[in-house]
Amino acid sequence: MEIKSFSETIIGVLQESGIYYLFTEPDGIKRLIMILISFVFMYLAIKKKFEPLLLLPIAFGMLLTNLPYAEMFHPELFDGEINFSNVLHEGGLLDLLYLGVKLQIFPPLIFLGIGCMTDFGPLIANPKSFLLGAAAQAGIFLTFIGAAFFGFTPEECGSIAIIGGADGPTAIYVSTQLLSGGVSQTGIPFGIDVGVIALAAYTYMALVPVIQPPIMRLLTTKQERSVKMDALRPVSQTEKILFPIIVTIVINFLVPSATPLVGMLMLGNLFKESGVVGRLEKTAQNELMNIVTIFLGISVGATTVADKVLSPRFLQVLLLGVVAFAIGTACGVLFGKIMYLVTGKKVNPLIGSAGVSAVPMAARISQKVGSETDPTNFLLMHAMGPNVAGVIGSAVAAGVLLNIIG
Amino acid sequence: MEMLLSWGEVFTVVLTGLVIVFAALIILIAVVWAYGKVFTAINKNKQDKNDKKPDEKAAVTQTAGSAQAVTTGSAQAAASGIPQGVIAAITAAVAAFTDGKGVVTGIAVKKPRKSGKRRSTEWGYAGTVSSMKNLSRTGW
Repeated sequence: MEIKSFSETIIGVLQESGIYYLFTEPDGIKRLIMILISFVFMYLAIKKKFEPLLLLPIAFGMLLTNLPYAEMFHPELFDGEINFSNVLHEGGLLDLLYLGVKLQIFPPLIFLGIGCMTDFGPLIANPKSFLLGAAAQAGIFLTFIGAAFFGFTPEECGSIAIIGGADGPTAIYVSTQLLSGGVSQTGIPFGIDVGVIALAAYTYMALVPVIQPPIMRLLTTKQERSVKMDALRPVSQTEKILFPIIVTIVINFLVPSATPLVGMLMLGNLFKESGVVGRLEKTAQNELMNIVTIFLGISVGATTVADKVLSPRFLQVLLLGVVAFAIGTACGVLFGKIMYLVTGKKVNPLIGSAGVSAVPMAARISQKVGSETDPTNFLLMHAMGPNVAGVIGSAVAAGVLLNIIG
Repeated sequence: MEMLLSWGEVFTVVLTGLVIVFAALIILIAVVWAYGKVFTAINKNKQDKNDKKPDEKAAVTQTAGSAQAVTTGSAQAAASGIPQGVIAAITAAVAAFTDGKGVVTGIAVKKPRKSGKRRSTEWGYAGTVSSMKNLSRTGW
């Protein structure tokens, strides 16, 4: 048995260290930059409170996956058709968690929790709000044009466009399906991945209070902003119970590919409105949702490898993401203006911007901008209608994209 | 920068997407609006019926002379030892609630009923202990 000298041992330990890897291996510097980027996202989540519930686990997942020798996530296991036996035998913790994303389990479960927390009463009282929810989805489809112009593949275009839905789980749901396999139908390797889409989506969702107000003020007059809307009619419990059942059936009949998201959203809402399964409702909106949020965040963060993030493609995604949000907001407000004219100045166009789903932040922005013009104007409940319609609208848009491109 | 999709393909996606999303949500508007109308009508009918019942009662009472009834009710209540201030407050509240149509014909003090003797305390205790054992076994 040969005992190494002190210097040999020290050199051996150093050569096997993460620091040595970072500064000697070809992808070392890239990993170091990714680690620094993860710090930036952690800062945004902790200090700036940018969607911290998801951005923090995503940022930490990014850190874990880029640490040298950690081997916590193996993207190669998910290239092409997944060999589940390989994943179970060779995969680490993050590989196993990522199965929940890859198999479309986590986003619908998040929707279950969202359904438990959503009150569709304002939408049932004023069903015309659905139109504003639909109009705001124009941001998704118009951004598709921009993504195509930048030379992205159809699958990438669909994944980028869905950022405009301002709905993180929906963006992850769509991009996971469209970007699975690593190459497009025409054989071109994808330049982006799910992690990139999730990062852009959650960053912009946090920036809704910054992005929306200038657009809302620009597109409306003071007279339009000061419109006081009539009080909503009271909605009976029976109506609230029937709503999730009817919506699930109608959406399934029209856009079956949207059923997993809409179905789970409506199941959660039925838990809430039925009033007979308090325990299930509580679990779905608290414990289950929190657990799934951790798993979803950390596993999506793990997919952010240097090759995909440190490229001009990521910057283009960021640019298109903000364009998608802006177009969605503008289309919602413009449709609100149409409703303002058609209804004889009874609709405040500001509630249109809430159609970009981000619940309830977008509705709060409508209230805030409205109260700037007239502090006695309370638009929050009126804006909640388009806001929850936007959740259904973005899920339908997701189903349409999967149907056309997937 | 080379486009991988033709403009025709891009516009097909955009147009199809917008049309389907709007169509789906317009159908939902129609369905929700229709059942909203049905429920509004049902609720209105119920409310009308509820409104009619007190009206009829009030009409019958009023033919007998409401002032007399109030006086009788107050007199009866006063006879049963209820302070005049309480009688006045209750009468005013009823009048306000029924837009002056309702009439107080009498006020009675009802003491809460006793629930009677508790059933077999020993059996109850045994049942509680048994339930608690089961709960701890299942890990709840």
